[in-house]
Amino acid sequence: MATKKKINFGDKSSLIVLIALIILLGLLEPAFATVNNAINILQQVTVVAILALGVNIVIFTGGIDISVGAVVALSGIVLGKIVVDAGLPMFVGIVLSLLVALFCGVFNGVMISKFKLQPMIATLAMQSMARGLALTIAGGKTISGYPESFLYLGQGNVFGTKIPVQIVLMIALFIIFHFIMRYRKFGRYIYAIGGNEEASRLSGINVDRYKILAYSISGLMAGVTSLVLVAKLNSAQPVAGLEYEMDAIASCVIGGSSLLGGQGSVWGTFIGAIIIVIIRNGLNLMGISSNLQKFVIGLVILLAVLADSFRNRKKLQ
Amino acid sequence: MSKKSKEYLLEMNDITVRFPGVLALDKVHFDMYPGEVHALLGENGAGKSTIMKALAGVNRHYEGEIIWKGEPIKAESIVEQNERGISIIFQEMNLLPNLTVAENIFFGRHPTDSMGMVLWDKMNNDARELLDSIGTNIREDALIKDLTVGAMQMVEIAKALSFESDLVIMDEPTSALTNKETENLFEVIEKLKQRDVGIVYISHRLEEIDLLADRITILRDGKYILTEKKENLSREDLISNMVGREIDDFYPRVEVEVGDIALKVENLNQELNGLKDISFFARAGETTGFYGLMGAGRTELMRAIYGADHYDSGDVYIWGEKTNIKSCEDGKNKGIAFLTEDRKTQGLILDFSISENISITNIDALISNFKINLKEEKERNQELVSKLQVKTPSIQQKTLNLSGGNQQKVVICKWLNSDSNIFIFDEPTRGIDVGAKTEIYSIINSLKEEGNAVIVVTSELPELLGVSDHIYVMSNGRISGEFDNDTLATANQKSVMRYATKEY
Ligand SMILES: Nc1ncnc2c1ncn2[C@@H]1O[C@H](COP(=O)(O)OP(=O)(O)OP(=O)(O)O)[C@@H](O)[C@H]1O
Ligand SMILES: [Mg+2]
Repeated sequence: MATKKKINFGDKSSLIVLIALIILLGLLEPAFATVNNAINILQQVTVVAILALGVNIVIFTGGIDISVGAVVALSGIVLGKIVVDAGLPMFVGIVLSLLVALFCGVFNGVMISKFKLQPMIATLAMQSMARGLALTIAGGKTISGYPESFLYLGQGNVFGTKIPVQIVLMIALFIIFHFIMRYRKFGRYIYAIGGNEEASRLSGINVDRYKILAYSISGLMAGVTSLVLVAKLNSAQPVAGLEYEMDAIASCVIGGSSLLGGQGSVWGTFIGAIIIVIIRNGLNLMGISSNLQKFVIGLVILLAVLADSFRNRKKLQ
Repeated sequence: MSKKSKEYLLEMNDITVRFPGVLALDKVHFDMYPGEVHALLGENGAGKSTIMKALAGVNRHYEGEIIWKGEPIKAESIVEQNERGISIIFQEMNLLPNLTVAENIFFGRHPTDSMGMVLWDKMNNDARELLDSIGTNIREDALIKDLTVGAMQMVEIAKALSFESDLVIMDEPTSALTNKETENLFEVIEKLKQRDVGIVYISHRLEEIDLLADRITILRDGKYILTEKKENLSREDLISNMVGREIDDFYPRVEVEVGDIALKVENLNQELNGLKDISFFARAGETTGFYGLMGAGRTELMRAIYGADHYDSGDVYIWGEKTNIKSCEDGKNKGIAFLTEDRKTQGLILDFSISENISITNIDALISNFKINLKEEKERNQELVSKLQVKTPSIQQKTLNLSGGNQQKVVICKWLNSDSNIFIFDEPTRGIDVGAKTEIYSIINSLKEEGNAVIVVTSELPELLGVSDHIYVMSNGRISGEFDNDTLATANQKSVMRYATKEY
């Protein structure tokens, strides 16, 4: 296949799926295709999308991070403890909770690159540790009551407009990540490592360093996600973010990222996240129970991975 | 050629294969008699692998007619073609790294008992027999990923023979083999001929063609040029038909003033690969050649110096300064370029475009205003690609889609793009056609003229003698001989081989 890098296959097919979904839902439910509903949906996308943004970097390297959902909970609880329970200033809480999330990512990265653990195993362990810590620190309770100025992040609009702040934050992050992955050495190296780790190492790339960075970014983005989530709900919960990693990974794969690494794009993941949320939305509207929804989302992931492995098989021919 | 029949074993007529932007084959003809060795020749990207992949059932999207033993057939899948009696040794290795040698040879065809249980002993014994028959002592229970490239090639050969086919396609089978293994393969070919098996033989080594071929077909740019008995074609005819021009000076020489010692190694030891007490130096403005049989430790030595593997003791000096290289990153930052032996697993990121592969060694040079300048990247890399005449519709093409020799050229471009001044080339011309080889020798010359040190590791004696200003020979992990300024004149096939086979 002679590909033009700019429009990769993953992007295109996920975009087609998205448009098809929108048309379908718009026909079934005219209220769906309105600006208000679009904003509404994007508001629901922010959490999944920001989380997926970080996980995506890890997937580009050929790894996986299933700890992010639990890290969202842990850093939220840290924020709550510091700001609500200890009464320290908001910015101290934000910085510390982001640092905790970052630390979880660094830890994952070191285990995987220096101690050669399987990414699935290392992040599974982190998932359990982070969740356990969150539950222990919170003592099983939710922590509510944050300053107005902070809630603005999850609930407010950019002043004078009807555009929610969280959407602006999300889009800004996507633009930054797009720039980094396309125009910075970091991006090239991450794709290179996912494409062929040994060749990358022999080309003089410090593979360990870049892998640690990838997991660190994934952790940090879980921290950012946590801030948005707490601000949205005005509460930090030790069971927050449960199974969010599934939605995040699904967004990446649906958006065209290959679980083998080296392939995919930042915008593809954005589209993937929107598709996931729309599907969930649609299932809700149809009154399908959350238990059955899990089944459906699982099926969607399966299809996306199958499509990916099919693409790879075709390529080997 | 078999005397008993003039009947074709195989006829391929008007074979056309298209890829996006490339007409890889344009109405090509090819035929085979039973029991002959038919050499298929042409430059890199001429379409040799493509036509044989069509025949082997790997690429169903061909147009044209294939007549096998008098019957028209459609080559739909590799399994089907195996059953018909056609097997192929791929140019690019296709083994499963985590399975054993025996499992790879009999993949999908494990012998089983009536209950469907795999007969492991039988499988291993059969594999052993096959391996013995081609004269190799690779263990049947070794994992593929632990083998050297040459050993993998031998496994590919054993696998192709296991089908007991009537036609065996060999796509550059010797590019990673030692002389001994090559001789063994030639004996196998002789035996196959006696059993009336036809062999398609693709190689860029014309000496092998002289030795083996009964007939020769030449392709150029996807077009059929001619089919002739070998006797009717001189070496010059061959080359001019392949390349479309004459080559008079195969190993161009330049006189360069010798500079400082760029790389000096003292008493290097590495237990793991049995490297013992290795001392040598390489000067700027010179090409230092390293020769040795497989297992002599040349690649292992270069890897250790570059930082790809650790060594146990010894000192490495770069431009006179003692250095402690601990990783490839260190090695590259010290100005070493290391062109690895195997392009597919160590050299290229196959999903990356040609251009992205080239940039990877020197992205910093492309950064302005905090971003990679994509336009400059394109221009710079386009220049290199044109210089090495990589055959491709565009530098945005994925390297996965290039022919073997063109992939090799991209790896060379990639290292030329780096800011290095010590160039270690491990088998730089593997799989490269005659015309392009000369091109690469001139590139090595210009590197010398620019004051770099060049080290060439090669298994081809003519190449060693043709390019080197200073020669080291290795055997059993040691330096077993050296030809410097004073003794270079005495270096010839015989004297070099004597060192290479020295026992320790
Ligand atoms: N999958 C593919 N997609 C696009 N182009 C391809 C593909 N496979 C081969 N080509 C092109 O077809 C042409 C013929 O390639 P082929 O591999 O047959 O060359 P070759 O004669 O075997 O060369 P070499 O001596 O380098 O192995 C080349 O220009 C190559 O770039
Ligand atoms: Mg080929």
